[in-house]
Amino acid sequence: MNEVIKLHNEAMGLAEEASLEKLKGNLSLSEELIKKAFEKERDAANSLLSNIDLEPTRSVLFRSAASLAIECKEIRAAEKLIATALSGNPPEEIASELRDLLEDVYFRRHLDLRGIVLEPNEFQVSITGDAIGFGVAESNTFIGRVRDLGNLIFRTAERKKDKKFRERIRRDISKAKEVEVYISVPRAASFAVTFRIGYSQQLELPGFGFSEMVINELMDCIDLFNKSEEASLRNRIPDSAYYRNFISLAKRISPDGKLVKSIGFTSTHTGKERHVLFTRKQIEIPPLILEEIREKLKETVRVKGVLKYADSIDALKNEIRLIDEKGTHHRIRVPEGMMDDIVRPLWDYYVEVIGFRENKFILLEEIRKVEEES
Amino acid sequence: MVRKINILLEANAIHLNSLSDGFPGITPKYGSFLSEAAVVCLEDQNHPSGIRMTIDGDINHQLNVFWDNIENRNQVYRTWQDYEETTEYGAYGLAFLIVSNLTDYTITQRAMKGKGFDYWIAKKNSNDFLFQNNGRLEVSGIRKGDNSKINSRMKEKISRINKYENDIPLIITIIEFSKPISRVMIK
Repeated sequence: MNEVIKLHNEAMGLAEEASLEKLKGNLSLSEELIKKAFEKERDAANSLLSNIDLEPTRSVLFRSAASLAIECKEIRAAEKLIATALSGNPPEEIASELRDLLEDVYFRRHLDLRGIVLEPNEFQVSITGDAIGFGVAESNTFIGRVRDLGNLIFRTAERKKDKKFRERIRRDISKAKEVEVYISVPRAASFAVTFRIGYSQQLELPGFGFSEMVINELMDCIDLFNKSEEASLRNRIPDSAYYRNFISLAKRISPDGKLVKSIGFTSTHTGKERHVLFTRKQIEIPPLILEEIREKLKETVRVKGVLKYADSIDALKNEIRLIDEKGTHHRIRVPEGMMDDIVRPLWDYYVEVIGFRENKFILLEEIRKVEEES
Repeated sequence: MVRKINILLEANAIHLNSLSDGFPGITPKYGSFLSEAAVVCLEDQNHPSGIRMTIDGDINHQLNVFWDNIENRNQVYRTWQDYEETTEYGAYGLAFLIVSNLTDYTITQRAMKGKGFDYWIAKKNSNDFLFQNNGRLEVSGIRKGDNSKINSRMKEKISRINKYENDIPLIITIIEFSKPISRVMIK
């Protein structure tokens, strides 16, 4: 038993060293240390293979070894370690953590590029959930997210070029053509597509890939949003219009927890594969209320009705109207960042609006399509 | 065997540099990194060494938090550039000192869970085998947030833990650096 303690302590010492080296930016040394930590922790766990009732020690060591295996991309080894832990008698809490880890392992299989080689200006999006079969997807579930992702890429590119947020991008075709988003034929993975960013040649500086930078920025922001790190995200996107646009689009793309359980992003950044898992459920994301709005207005309003009228001819107006079941017209002001990408696609749909009362208007914070109530 | 966590209110001050002494489950080197992160978070909120920290929730107490001046300041601040990461590491540093100074438990073990460490606590001077009769420590850090943010972070932690029926002792600590305050829940 002393050997188990010795191996485990050595493994954890190495894992600590690895996290310190990672913080210092010594990534390859960190990876080497994690690999060594994994081997020691795996040996410690395997020493207790037949000690089925030594819980929670057995399952915690196997879970720890599996986590390290995932860190050093030994996915098959992680799967075996988790299965071994679950085949014993782990406490309910540890068993649940092991199952979460197993889900992570399986989703990583979907992130696998399966022979597809991504260029630096491309990334793969892979979707799993009840609406997704092997190579097939319910069209509404998939198409809306693809359109929103296209908008998100475009807005990220504009932001990284320090451009002011342009509300009516669709009307200015020549400017919009600076960035093009292409999408591949879907493939089975459960369901995966590749996005490619095209950019005018003069803006792609030699030795520095603008498209690669945009993809990396997009993945960083989705990662922060997924971890509910809105403060860091706001620091990264200080412009309110871009921030509001990002949050609204990311919320629409996010998994509903059933039809879509997770969305995976895979890219190649500086020659290495990078994965981001987007698992934060739509229902768990609170309405977006920017601090500057919250301070001014107190009364939250929710109204449902059909979006029948939109007026964005006058930039100052940006007004939509909602007709509820009683025929009442509600005048709603749309803040910068939402009209083109968020509101316009909902034209003529039954929607719910969440906002703040401001004189005879409702100042929009969130709008979403809802099933019509009978 | 269920072991109750007892509260001890003898300490009135903690010194972040004492993290460099390590714990049974933390190496001295790692402890000094956590200490640096905690100092960066507190200095970022313009707190001087000796700032009074309120502990509330299941422990009601106040502690003065001391630290030595950071030597190689530029290097330290370069290491701790990631806002969220620094907040989390800093919170762990303070939580370890709160647990070991205000309860009869200390940090005895760590294991990997996902991308991070999972910390286990046990009665001071206990000789139990790995994780046997140990409790768990859950920590979360907020650099600057109001009471509702602290409450919602605590609720989030509790709702996850409450899904399981077990008798593993547990301490949840939410550390907020701007006041500074530490909310503690003991099960």
